[in-house]
Amino acid sequence: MSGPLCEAREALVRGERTSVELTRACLARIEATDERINAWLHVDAAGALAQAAEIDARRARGEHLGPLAGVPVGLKDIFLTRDLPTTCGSRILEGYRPPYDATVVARLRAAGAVILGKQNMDAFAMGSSNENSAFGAVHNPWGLDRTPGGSSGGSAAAVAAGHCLGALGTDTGGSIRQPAALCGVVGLKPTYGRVSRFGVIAFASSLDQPGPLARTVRDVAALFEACAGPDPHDATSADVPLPVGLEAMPRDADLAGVRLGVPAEYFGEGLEPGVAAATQAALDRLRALGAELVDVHLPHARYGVAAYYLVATAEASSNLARFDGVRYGQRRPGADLAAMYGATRDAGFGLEVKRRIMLGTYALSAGYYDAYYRKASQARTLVRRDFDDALDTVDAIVTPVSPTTAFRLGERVDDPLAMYLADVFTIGCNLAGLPGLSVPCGFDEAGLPVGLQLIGRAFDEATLLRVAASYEDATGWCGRRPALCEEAP
Amino acid sequence: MSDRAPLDAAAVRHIAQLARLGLTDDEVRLLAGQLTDVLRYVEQLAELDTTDVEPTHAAPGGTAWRPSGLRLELAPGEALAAAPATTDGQFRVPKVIG
Amino acid sequence: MSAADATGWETVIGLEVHCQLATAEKLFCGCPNRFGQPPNLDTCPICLGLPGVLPVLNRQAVDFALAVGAALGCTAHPQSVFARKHYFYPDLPKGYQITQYDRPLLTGGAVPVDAEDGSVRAVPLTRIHLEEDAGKSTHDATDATLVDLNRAGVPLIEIVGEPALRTPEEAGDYLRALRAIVRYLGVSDGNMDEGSFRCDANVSVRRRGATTLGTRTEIKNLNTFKGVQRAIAYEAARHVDLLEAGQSVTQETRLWDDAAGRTRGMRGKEEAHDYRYFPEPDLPVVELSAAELRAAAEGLPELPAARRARFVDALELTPYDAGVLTAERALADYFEAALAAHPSNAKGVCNWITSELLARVPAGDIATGPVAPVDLGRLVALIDDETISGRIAKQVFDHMLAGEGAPDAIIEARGLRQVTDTAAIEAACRAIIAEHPDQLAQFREGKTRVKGFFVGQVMKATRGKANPQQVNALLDRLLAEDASDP
Repeated sequence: MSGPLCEAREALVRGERTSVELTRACLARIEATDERINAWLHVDAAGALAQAAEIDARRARGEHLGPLAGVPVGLKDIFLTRDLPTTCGSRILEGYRPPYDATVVARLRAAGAVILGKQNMDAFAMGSSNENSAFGAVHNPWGLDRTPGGSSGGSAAAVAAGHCLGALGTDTGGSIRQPAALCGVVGLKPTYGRVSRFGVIAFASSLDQPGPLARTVRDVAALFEACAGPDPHDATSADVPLPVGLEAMPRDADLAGVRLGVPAEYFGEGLEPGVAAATQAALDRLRALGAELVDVHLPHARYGVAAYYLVATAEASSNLARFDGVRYGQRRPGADLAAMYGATRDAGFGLEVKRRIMLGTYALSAGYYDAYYRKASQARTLVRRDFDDALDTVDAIVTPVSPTTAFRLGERVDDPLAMYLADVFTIGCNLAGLPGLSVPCGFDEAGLPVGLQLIGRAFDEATLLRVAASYEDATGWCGRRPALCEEAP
Repeated sequence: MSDRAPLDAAAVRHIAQLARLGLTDDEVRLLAGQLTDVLRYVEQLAELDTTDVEPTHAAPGGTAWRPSGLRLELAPGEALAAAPATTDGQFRVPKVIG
Repeated sequence: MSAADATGWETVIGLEVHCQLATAEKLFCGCPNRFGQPPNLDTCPICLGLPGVLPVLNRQAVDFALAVGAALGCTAHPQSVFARKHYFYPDLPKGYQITQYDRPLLTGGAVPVDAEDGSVRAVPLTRIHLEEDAGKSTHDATDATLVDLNRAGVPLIEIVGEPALRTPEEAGDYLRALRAIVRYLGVSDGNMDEGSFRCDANVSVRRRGATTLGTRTEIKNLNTFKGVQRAIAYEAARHVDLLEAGQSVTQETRLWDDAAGRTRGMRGKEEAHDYRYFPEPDLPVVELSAAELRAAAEGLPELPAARRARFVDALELTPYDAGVLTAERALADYFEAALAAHPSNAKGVCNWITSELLARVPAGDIATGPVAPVDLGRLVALIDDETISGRIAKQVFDHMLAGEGAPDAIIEARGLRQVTDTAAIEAACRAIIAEHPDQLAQFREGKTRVKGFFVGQVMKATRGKANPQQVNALLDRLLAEDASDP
């Protein structure tokens, strides 16, 4: 299927639907199920309907409209929005309304997208379960006692539940791909530099990358095209030409001539049987579609988690220094400046954020920089070289996204290290700056979705989308919906 | 680095002071244990021979210069609109020394 | 000579100068870079450190820094790296300053400093790097701190000197030389009052002849050249007193209290600094091609020392006059433009600028003042070709200052051309002699000083236009004739 977003767009263009109807339908589904899912931190019903009505009016006047005109979407609450509250899932920003739009938000608006509101997330994007949101965990539509993954858990859950036709998330160590896998939707982490980070609250600046989540590969491609491209406000954004018309990829294309690398390091112990089985079946299907599967080696992959948690926390400790209660955000009183800082930051940040600030501060502190931050940055180079070498011989690498399907909420909250280790398959992309995509590849015995990861060469998202679309056409996993959607209006 | 002592409460408090986190005693105890676990885990990096390996930091690609005139204009008063406390167009914070 | 020198101790001084660059915009955002605006007016989400913002580098700031580097003979690096320096303070919006750490833009180089004996000493530099300024904190009546972020993000270069200075006076000379250079280059206004040229001093003392450095203290809050010298002298003496009393110097940062004339330790506990530098991930490595680095060196104007030497050698000005003229680039430029209008008398043009123009127009306003350099050169030319006398020239100059334009037009309009017609002057002289028989009698009695009276009367009668040399010569002859008359 082309996907609900692409279909809605065509229906709008043909005049079969109005944006107001689509927006009302989304709002109704949010109304019906979000009390149980908690995917949204702020729903701007009035604003969304006003945007939709304006698009409909402009369409009626025959005006030229952008590629997403009238399509209702959601935003992870990490994107700054001029007219909507932005909390980043943290108490410290409760009530904050930014004075500017993130570049990608401005691009979505320019493309005509209707912004429904802001989606729940782990505070400051730190987490793999969405339990680190200051505003309550998100519940997985496929099993309400389960995590949706994180940190873009609200976005993945909202897309899975049909609350919106697509969403923008961010991915620092898997925060788009892992929740996409756990919620049975498609998520793309673009190449570092492909999508502007301006106006996106920074977690780890050298790893963060915004990207789309949607029900199908072509829907993801349509959102990706609307957001990507260089930005003069982001010195790390790259001016590399973007292929156009990605969502118009041919139907049921075969994969003849495509070489896909399979790294043994990603298929070892620790993989749940249901995940291993679904992934193996996906590899077989890719081969059946004509792809050549090739063994590749990523020998430094096992150092990825250690390198990642030092680099990411070091950068986070720096990026979160600005939340000091001086210019914005919640302030706690203190008799003097130091007391105000300590009280504000202790009360405003949750435990996971504090844990990471502490780890990162330690990794950069006098006497430890070389052993921790610098060593991790060197290990990062070795991880990157592994990927570069492998991608010299193959067009993309295929791996699982997460070692497990959606685990139970509360199951891992007391063991941060175990939670970190679950990011093992996704962080390599971020360390190497490469694009990664998660596409549904089946279900485990409990009926929970499994995701397949494709990792590509820098700025070659097109190959990932093409391979994933071919796989999706051949399997139809994306057609399956959580039971909860059946009861919705 | 494998012989490095685990983080004790004093070390945790020192880092918290650097990071301006006013941790409670319970948080200090909890974090001392959890951070020690994480640090023991990351010490596997010591196995890697990184002689002559350049660290990876920022994005590859050359300097990007800011086009002149590129500015996000704020409306009057908007700079201070979200501030917890202001006086005469300035941000106000408690005295530096108590 | 400082107190330290007198007691067999040697003072060792290293200066760190923070110099604001006079770019149009801030270092990492498009806010205007200017002084004296209402608080927080010149701010935007980027320099306010709002969530989500990113820095993007200002090219002009890099070019200005490269110009300083070229002028001081620094090595400019084709790759340099910005880093984050962390500390919490309300006027540092992001909780870190973007600066350069282990890979600065410029290293080495030296500041040429004039010594009293006329020689020039090259005081070596460690490095020059680019960084952003912080905002400004003030404390109100209740001790609360108020923060204005207009200055946050203004580009600075930090010029780090080697500990190669030995006296407070030498430190002052170094700062003046450095300031003259950045002003010459047009990259900074070098204004200490407004904080665009700031200095921290690292001071230590050691026994004369010792080769290792003593424990140093860093002095901050130095706002005037005089203050720098006084603070260094005070601090060196304090170190000597401590050491001679058998105590030791504590390595610390101290503030200079100009009113009290002393340094004091910073209030409260001195927190051990741990800035946790790491490479700024939001900014790619700054890469400059060989051609770009060359262009910086080739675009340099002539620097004060070279210009001063040229004025002395080629134009035969005194070293003093050359120094006055080259103290400000605008003044030296004015002189050269005036000289272009009258190339044959550099000394005369110089004298008119230093003794007449500077007496009436502040040095900073000369370039934009009422007297165009070409007109001043022309005025001196008109004196030299005897169109007007020096005295009339001063009248003409008054009219020029009043904005009446070129000297030729003023002379013509006001009929100030010098009278050189001998017959006319002789007639005037004879008339004056005839009108003053008493004075003539005195002259004849030997009071030759009375001749001055006759000169004055003749000049008055001719309204100053008579050529004074001719008047003198004629009066000598006429008075002598009269005297020999029976």
